[in-house]
Amino acid sequence: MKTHALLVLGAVMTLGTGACRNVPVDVMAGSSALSGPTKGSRLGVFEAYWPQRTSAELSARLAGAARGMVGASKAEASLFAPIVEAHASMPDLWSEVTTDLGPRIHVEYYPAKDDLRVTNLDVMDDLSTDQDVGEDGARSVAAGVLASLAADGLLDATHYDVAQAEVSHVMTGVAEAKQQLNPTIQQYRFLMRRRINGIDFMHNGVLIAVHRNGRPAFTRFGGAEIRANSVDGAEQPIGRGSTLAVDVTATEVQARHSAAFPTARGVKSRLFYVFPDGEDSGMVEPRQVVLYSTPHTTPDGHVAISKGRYLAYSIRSVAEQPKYISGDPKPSASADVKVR
Amino acid sequence: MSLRTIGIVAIVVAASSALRQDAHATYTYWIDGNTNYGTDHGCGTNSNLADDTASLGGALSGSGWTGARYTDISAWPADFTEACNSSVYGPGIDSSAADTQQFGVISGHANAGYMAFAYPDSGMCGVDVGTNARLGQMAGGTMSQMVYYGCCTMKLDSLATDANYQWVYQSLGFLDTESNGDDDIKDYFNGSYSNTNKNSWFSHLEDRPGWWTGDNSPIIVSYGVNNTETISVETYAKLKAGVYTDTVRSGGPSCGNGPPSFYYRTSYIDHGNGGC
Repeated sequence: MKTHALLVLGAVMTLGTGACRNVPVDVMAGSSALSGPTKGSRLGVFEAYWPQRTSAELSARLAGAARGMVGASKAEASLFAPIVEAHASMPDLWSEVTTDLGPRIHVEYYPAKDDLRVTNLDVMDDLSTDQDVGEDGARSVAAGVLASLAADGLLDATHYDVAQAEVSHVMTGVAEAKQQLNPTIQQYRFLMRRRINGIDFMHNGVLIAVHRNGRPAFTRFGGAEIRANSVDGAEQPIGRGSTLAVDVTATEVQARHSAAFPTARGVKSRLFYVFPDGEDSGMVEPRQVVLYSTPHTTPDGHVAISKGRYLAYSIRSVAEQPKYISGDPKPSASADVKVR
Repeated sequence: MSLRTIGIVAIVVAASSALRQDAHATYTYWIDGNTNYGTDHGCGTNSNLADDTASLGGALSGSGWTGARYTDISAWPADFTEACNSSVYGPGIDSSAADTQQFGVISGHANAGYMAFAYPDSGMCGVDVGTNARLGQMAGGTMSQMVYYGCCTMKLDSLATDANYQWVYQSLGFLDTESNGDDDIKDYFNGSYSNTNKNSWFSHLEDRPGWWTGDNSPIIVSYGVNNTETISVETYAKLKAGVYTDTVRSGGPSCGNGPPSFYYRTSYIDHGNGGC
């Protein structure tokens, strides 16, 4: 039985022909988002891209993140403009520390991925354990940071659900050499992937880490964007977007993967909107993404486990070969050489 | 003299010379990267890996560091195996290889306390960290930070018998079946100039740039003579900035002996230890 919550007829403009057509797009919600879409569901295929920020935009995003974390009214874009300008020509990751707001604020940015990270080092490096606001208290703080980012127009809060955030922890512990560790929670971390009609987008999200004392320690946000119109609560593809009809279920993918990799370990299967193998732009569609590792036994009797790989299966056709995200690794071609 | 020996002598001479001139002018590294597991060279087969330390090597060299990066048939378990007594630790040469350098990395398939190599050498297919390695102490005795770049390498219940036997200031690895991109460890290194090693490890090894999977469980362990020193190491150590990078941890054990009393502080992002 189909369990989707909403069926929407949306107008889709196809760039190639300029033609409009009405295309039904299903919105996954509740249990269907977790168990996967059923056969026959129609899901959007979206044109996606990595935003290229101007210096002014990036300064505003840094200031907004800092405001959300430390609440400093003087966290204006102009404060971060010199930092952004200093790194404007850097295409790769850059980072910087500023103390102009009082606390030590570390900013880090991947221009190609619009991936912004802001750390309050004074909170991050606070190893005290005498206060614990608990997960609910920390979630409220994270919600406040998210709301602040939204209020500054830096993201659309309707795309990120703090109530359904994936929660992890930074744990810390200390012990004398032979003693057992007794780690305690140092931070609560709330990961919210951007949702497209109820399905997580692997390449866009917000991560907010809150110290056990209730102060925000770390905020990461950004990623790829999609071209879409919102119609009656559903995001409709525009531009080169289209729809697909689901013909492969998560259960079928699991069976196929188990048959291909019978010894796989650490298997985690999720439905993601994801860029396909080797591509960083273009169209994104929902795929069943399976993370897994494989073991081998060495002659000396050790079991070694492979680094994890992400294999993306089509849910539109079983005939499509799955694709490794980030490609199929090739052995090393260059390094120092030594011989015995 | 083999090519390999010539190379090592050159590295040691260069490092020693630099240290005589300016103790903070040059830092050193040793990287063994394993990628070619797809063919059985005598150590079994598994999936190939990308060369995920190549850009790190470039970044280190570009930052004025000296050292060596070997891959596959040139990467030997003996490089990280203690050299002071082969009957105790195995056929090690770390006193002319990894433990002559301050920053060490082994990348490849792995398990708790074990790094599997793609090619056999000296009868070994990997480094059993607790059995074979004694980094930062005994013969060599130089390393201050060691990265075990593979799955499950620093699972919590393995620390006491494996990573904690190394006399370094920090050990870095994973609790789970990690997955990493080609440049993540390079980004860790570059990030350790303006941020601490802990914060940079967390920021760059939990996920890849532009990815939001939230899967890896990165861990860093800081060591000291007491709790206060572990806090200092965790809070201040910056690899690229040179904080604790060229400081040898004092008081380590002599050949054949176990470590004296010490403290260790763990910090990790807990996404579980799936697959380990």
